Amino acid sequence: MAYERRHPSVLLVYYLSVTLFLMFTSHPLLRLIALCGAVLLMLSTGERAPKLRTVLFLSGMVVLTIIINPLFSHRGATELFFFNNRPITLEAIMYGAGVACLMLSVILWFHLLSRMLDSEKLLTLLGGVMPKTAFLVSSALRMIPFLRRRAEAIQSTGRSMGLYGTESIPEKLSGSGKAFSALVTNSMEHAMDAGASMKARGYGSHKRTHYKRYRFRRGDLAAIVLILCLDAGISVGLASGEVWFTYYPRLAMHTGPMTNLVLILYALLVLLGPVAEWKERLKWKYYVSKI
Amino acid sequence: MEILRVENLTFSYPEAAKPALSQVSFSLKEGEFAVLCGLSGCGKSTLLRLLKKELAPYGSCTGEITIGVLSGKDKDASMATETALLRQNPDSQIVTDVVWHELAFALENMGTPQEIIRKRVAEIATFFGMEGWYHRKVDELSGGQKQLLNLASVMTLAPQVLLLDEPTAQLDPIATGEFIHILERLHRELGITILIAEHHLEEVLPLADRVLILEEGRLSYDGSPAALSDFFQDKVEHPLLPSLPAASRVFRALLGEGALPISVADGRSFVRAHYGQGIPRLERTSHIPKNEPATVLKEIWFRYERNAPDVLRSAELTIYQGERLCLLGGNGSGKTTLLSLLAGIRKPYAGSITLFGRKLSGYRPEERYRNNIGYLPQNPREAFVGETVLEDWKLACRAMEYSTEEGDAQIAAMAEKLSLTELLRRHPSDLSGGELQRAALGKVLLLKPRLLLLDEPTKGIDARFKMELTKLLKALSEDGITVVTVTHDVEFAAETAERVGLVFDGEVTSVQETTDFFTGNTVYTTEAARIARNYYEEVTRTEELIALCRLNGRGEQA
Repeated sequence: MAYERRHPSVLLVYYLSVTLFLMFTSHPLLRLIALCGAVLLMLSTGERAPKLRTVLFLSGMVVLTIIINPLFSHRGATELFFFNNRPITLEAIMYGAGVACLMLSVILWFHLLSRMLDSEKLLTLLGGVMPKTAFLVSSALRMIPFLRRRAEAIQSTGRSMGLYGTESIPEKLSGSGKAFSALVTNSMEHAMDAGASMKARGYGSHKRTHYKRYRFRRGDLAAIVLILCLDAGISVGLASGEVWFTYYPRLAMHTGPMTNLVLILYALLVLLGPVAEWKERLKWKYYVSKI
Repeated sequence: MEILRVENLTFSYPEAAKPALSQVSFSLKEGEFAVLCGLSGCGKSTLLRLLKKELAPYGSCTGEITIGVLSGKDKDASMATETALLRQNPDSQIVTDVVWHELAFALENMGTPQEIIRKRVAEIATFFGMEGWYHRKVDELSGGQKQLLNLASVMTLAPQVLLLDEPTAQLDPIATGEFIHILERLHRELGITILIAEHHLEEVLPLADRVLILEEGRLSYDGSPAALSDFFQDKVEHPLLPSLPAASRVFRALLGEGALPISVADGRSFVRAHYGQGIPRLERTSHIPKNEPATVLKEIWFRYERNAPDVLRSAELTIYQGERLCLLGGNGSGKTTLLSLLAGIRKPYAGSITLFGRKLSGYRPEERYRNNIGYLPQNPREAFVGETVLEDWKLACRAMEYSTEEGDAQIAAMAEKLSLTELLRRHPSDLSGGELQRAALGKVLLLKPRLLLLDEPTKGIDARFKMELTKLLKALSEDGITVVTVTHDVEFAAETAERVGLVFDGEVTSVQETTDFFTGNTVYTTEAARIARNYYEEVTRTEELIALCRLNGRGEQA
């Protein structure tokens, strides 16, 4: 995957740009572009089809938002029909649709972010700035699965030694309480051992450096510059005040050169991700075909 | 050139009656491989920790420790880089979450620049053969890999003296072999000075230049491995004798003269050179009668997760009442899983388990563990949830629904039987390996089980405790308790079991009587069997070999 070889700062700048513009503008076309971009990026990184449960949940959320808004908000000029003596307006439905689009886009983009910026990349970002915090995060990430296994082991062994004795609720609670306190004792001892191990390897004797697995290359710098330029262009367009969309009282949109500029630049920004992925894939197909 | 010198070292823990170390003096030359032997509690760990400044225990210490300094640039940091101490528990020493980060950790602490860290880490990872799992998360590693990671991590600082405190105690035989092999390479290729405290003497003695024996805090032997024969010459019943390799024990029992044979090959030459073949085998004791089955496993299938591969595939096993059964198997073969199924802790997704004639699933949970099953986990520390051993034992009594007086009486009797009376009020974390094992066993036995399941009971235990455990298990099975042990300790299985089975490829293959099981194997067998192969028949235990040699008497080589 192309994103795996990029320095995490590039990914961070990309995501921040896309999501900040998405969240702070209310133009529905922008949101649509963001949504399509998320889907394209998911396709290009070869993400497997989402589980049925997830699809149902998300669609349910979308439908619910579109239905709820007109039920509560009756602003808008175009009345479609009456429900409970109140008008259901087109504008309210469209507003609901806009909000649903926003929520879906944000969910998808954050999902992509969590997939691409894993713990290692996060540590690389932190490590340069706050090496001690980075180490703390790393230690915590080690402890979590370790303690989870210990908790499981203590519970299952306890069960076999009469810890949860009878079926009564107070017994079960006291049993769980004991198991939990045993886990805490265990983890405190482990912490002591870990501390000794750190001291034995010289922790605290010098100012710490942080070993970066990802090196910052020229390509990364170019990518960041490109993204920032697009950001600048979009910001200029937005600052001009000519890009707006209102829902109430009537659907209205300003069209003009600035709007087109902002939309095109944002589309380019969003497409940077999927295009990079597809370019990688084509390149590799080409290289491999020559073997 | 001398690299480590200890002079008149005496150390006492605070509020201890006796000193842990008394007047210990020795010195090591650069590049020596020294083995530190002694029973549990003799002071090995204390000595090793005192040699590593950062891990030295708190207490009153007199005497001098000098460790050679390469270039006294930075006194504080140089101590961290000169000696390294590796301990028993692989998990307790790892602090980061990914392998490569752990390797870089020590160098990061030293403020080493990026490029140097990169180079050193690459170098060490290559030497240790870690390229395959360099990116893995630490909790996905096996015990052996974790211990290798610990060793690699301290080696990035290029220490001159490597101290190891029973590093293979928690590892299976394959991982132990690999670890010792890497140590050997480090020693041979880099000339590092190594001081290792070990119980697996058959692996390290052949590599050692020096042997140091600690007895109750005093150094009672300091010399070469071969000269150990003189040391044990007049000591008929020395407690350290059972820890020696089989070849040495045979030599000693037969009052051999000359250098002490250590490896299996040494043992073979010794036996063939001095003992005849007239009587090829001992008379076998009559076969053990089979009682009613205690537990029957029929076509068991088990996997941990829906999409994970099967761990057990149509496994079958019948265990008879009152017998002692050992299940052997490699790392990851599924033997611990099998035991947890027998204990009712996990359920197979297909197949049936019957216990004493009833389906295991038919037992109510409290019924299952009262008077029926007793399960001792791999890590006995997990068996304790209270602040003292007594508290946990009382929990067991409560599960059995004893009255207070009855419970106290049971506890007192159990403590007497396991020699734990003084240790009852201690915190479980303050007990040593062997004591913890006994305390956990006590708790399980209070539930009066008829089927006792033990998971790797010999991890980290010295030979003397192993013998005690064997005696205890034999006594229990004489009382009618069925004992099933899962272990990879072949010697222990040979001593304790009446039947042995091998867990392999998701099944329990070849369950046979102990002698039949081991004499059929060429590699997966006891040292005594390997010494006697092609010379005597049906030998599995060291005592059998000694007895056969005595029967045959001294004779010319056939």
